[in-house]
Amino acid sequence: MKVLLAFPPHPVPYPGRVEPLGVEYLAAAVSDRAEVGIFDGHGGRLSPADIVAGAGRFAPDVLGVSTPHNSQVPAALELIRGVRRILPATTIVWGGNWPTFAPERALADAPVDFVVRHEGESTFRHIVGALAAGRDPRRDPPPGLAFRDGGRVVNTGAPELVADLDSLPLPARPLVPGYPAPYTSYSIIASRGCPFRCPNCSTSEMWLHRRRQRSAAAVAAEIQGLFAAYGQRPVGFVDDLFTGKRRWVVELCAALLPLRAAGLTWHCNTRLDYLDAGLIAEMARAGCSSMFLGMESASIGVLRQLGKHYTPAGARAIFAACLEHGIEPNVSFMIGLPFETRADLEETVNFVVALCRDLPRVRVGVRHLTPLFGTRLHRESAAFGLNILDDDQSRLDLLVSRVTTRHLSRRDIDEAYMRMRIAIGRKHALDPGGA
Amino acid sequence: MRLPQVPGRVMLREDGGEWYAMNLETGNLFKLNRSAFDILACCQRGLTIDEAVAEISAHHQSGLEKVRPDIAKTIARFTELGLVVETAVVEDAAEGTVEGQ
Repeated sequence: MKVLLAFPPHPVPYPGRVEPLGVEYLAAAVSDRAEVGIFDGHGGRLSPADIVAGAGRFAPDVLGVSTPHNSQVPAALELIRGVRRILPATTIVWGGNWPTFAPERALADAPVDFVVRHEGESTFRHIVGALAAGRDPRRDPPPGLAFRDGGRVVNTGAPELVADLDSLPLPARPLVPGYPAPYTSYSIIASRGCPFRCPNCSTSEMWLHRRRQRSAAAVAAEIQGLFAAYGQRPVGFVDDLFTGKRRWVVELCAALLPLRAAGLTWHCNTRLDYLDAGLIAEMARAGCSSMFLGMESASIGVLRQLGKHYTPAGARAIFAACLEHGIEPNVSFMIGLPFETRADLEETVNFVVALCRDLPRVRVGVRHLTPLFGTRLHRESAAFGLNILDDDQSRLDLLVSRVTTRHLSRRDIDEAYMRMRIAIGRKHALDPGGA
Repeated sequence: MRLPQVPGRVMLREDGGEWYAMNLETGNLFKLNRSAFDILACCQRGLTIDEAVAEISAHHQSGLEKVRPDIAKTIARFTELGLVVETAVVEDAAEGTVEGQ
């Protein structure tokens, strides 16, 4: 049994080259049942045609295609169709945001046999195991699967999530050609999921609103293993809510201290209301050098509607604490939220302008609201008063306004966006050593 | 002859004594000098080249004979940056009139 896992390329330009952790985990999940190969279209700079040609040489029994980002979908469709043409007997499996939240459409658009929804290891392992044993996975389908059965689509519902993340085998990084040369850092998952239900986020729905975490010792051991095998590099924790459990973060920081002495630096993503000055100090001591923080708005009314429990003043205090401890806060704002009035938007613009002027070492980014498949804003757009002008999910790049709201015209949104971008651009000119 | 057209959605903004253009279809932001800003505004308003030359020379108190080639150079740079389409009026390339961000 041969299994090939493919990570389609993002359209150019897409920032950074992050290792394809999802396919590395999937590869590890089936490596005891099959000979496994990985093609990373993004990090390896492979086009869909390159991947199709490589698949022709590898001749897999199963092709797994992973698209965590919808911008990868056009390349995914091209390579799936190409592989189907040259290897008609290969079982093709597709997972990621788009197939998880639009399985019927995925099965209609792409000549795939199965869609794996949400967390994929267990379901994918079941498919490969069944095929290896000569059984049709449709006969005894596990949860987390969608497939065609005659003229109808069978959807077996959400999967059981892996209860103990420490039980998963480590990502199969040695299977990635040239690892780690194509990547700027090691990517690590220390926890999966987020319990919050922010209406603009699909990630929480992807992980079924549950957050699970690995043991601090297991995370530290993985990093230590990477340093031993490949040398020291920065680490990026790709967790959705890294500081979701304060005590665990403190334990993890303690476990990372010996690696810090060996030069470890790391990045993480979290929420402003899950940080405090003491925790920031602990994280800095353990090597944290930057943090992505989705502040989204400087209007308290909008923040409360999003379920976020911080104030603009409190957020600034957190940014200042980060800077004091040598951590670069990378702060993101979102415009075009459905409950945002012109006055709310003005508060956010003024906050961004002042932030860029007063704390120029804070990295600031502004994104347009992007109603992705799987978000409440997409499912309930009419109820939210959201007018989606362009629903081509493969082109939603956060750089262009694609919605209007009850309160905001496209011009309101564009003007605010431009004012914030100017403030950010001016900050760069004032502080070339900063972000 | 008319100036080239501004494609898609381009927004102009004066902010704190600085001049900017943003292509809203790509998210690209450009910092302009005052003269380039005025020329792009003329493109956006669909002026003819002669109308633009007259307006810019009056505004900047420059001679007509200097403004016409300046406009051509600026339009050439705008074309490279995708801020305007059609290059009929362009004769040679400009330097230093537009900075991209």
